[in-house]
Amino acid sequence: MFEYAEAAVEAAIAAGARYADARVMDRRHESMAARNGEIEGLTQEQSVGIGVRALIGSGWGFASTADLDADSTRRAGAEAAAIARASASVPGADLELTPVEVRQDSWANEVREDPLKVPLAEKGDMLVTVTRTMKDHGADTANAGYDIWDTSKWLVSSEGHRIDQNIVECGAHMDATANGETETQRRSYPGIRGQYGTRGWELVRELDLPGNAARIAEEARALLTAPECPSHDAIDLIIGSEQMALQIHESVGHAVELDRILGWEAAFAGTSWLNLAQLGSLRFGSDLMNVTADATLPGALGSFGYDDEGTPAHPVDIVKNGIWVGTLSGRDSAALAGIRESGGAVRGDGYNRLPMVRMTNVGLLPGTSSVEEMIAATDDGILVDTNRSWSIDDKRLNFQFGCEIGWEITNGKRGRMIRNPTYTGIGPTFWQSLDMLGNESEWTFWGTPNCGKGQPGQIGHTGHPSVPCRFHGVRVGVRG
Amino acid sequence: MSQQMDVCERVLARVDDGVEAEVTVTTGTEALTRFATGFIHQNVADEARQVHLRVAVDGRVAEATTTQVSDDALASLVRSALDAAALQPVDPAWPGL
Repeated sequence: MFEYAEAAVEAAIAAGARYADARVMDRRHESMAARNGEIEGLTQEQSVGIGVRALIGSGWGFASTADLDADSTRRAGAEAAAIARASASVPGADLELTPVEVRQDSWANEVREDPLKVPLAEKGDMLVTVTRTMKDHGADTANAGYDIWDTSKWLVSSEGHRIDQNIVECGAHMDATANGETETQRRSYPGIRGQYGTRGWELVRELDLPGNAARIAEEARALLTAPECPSHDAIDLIIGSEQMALQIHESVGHAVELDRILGWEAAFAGTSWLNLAQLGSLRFGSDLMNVTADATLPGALGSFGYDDEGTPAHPVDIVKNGIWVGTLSGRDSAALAGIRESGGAVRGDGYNRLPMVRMTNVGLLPGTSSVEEMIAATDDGILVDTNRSWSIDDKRLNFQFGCEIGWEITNGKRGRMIRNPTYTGIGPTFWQSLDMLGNESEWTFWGTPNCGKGQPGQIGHTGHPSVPCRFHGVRVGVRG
Repeated sequence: MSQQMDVCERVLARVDDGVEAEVTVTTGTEALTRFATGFIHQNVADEARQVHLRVAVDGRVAEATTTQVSDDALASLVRSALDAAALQPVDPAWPGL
């Protein structure tokens, strides 16, 4: 496949580009879903083609084609350059690329059991079995499913990059819904989106969906008669690691995307409340808050060997001891912002999508507390987990989230289960109230396989290392 | 015969008698220009192609897609759709293609 990428890059340079790269991508996707004991759908897709970027002056061009032959790929390279020339007719600030070591390399994540080789019948039987179990234990509607992606990429750049990667990702999910007279309640496992990683089918086996199906169905049924989450203007709130993953994704991950901070995504995804003039000095959270973007974490969904610009995966400090110190960036956005090196966070969703800044594994480094210690240290509080709803403004500042389940905490003890827990806050105020941080034994690399961004729309796969956390003085039980 | 119709015929030729099959080949060029902060920050074009196959085997319906039109790719497309159909429950309301 390298020969097609090389032909495209050569054509772009011959057509006047001062830089070009090309990425051949072959992605297979398999997805199956079951509902109430029957297979509902099975998707099998293969997407193969080449995408070419060319830079002329300060203008980028991108062209892609599914035709992998010498003529078509050269034509795509020339077209990318022609589009770049058109872009350069409306020049912005001088656009440079941060330097990156040129490498020729191969990379693949560890896969113990190839998920595409597990028989379809075996995978289907698992989904049918768990949905039947949930029905038998009180669910009115029981869903389960899995997704598998097997992606091969071949990257060539005019600077000399020649990198191939094979990234296998998979995961599974299930949920039980119980219908009451006036509302429904749902429990999901292991999280609202399931759990996904850059691993083989061993990940799905470890999740043990069959062993958790009965429990979540019974919890969904029990929630129907649980008391409503009380309203408090300010109370101690303990958040489980799955909900924390969403909290990090929405209020930290998107806020530190450099293309948003620079205003490039204002028309669609939004901007950010963060101002580059405050990078290195702004207090984002309490001293306990340490967030990194680390694409090297084995098995996490946002892991890879190289991003789509050939920047090697590496950890980037985002928040250190509560101070905002880093962004998610690529070679052009970093250069424009005066940042020394790319954060290696540029990826495209398929061969025909322009690589753009995406989260890698944006997550919290663990602290020293267990959940039980957080509960014991709380006189009056609420414990919530498993995301149910999310709302956050286009600057990623004001948010309100709902969870599937909660518990009252009184005098250091976990009390009654409560339903419909919600909480709200303002990013930096909320994060500065972080006063207890889960320990390494509870550190979970949650995967989000459905992060939407960009035009045309792109779906990103992001990871979020997370631990349970306690926040002081949070508004909960928001109504209306 | 158009290239698209040729692909359709090549797919249908790989489907056994007794299997209902529907092939759709979609091709086209998509382009988008995005402006922000006074300059063009994204300017993209895609020569898009998708081959979509739907099969029905005794009321068991399944689908598969690919962007490729080589003989191997089309054979794999048919195999995937038939493998998927074998897992599906019979749709009692299936009216036939």
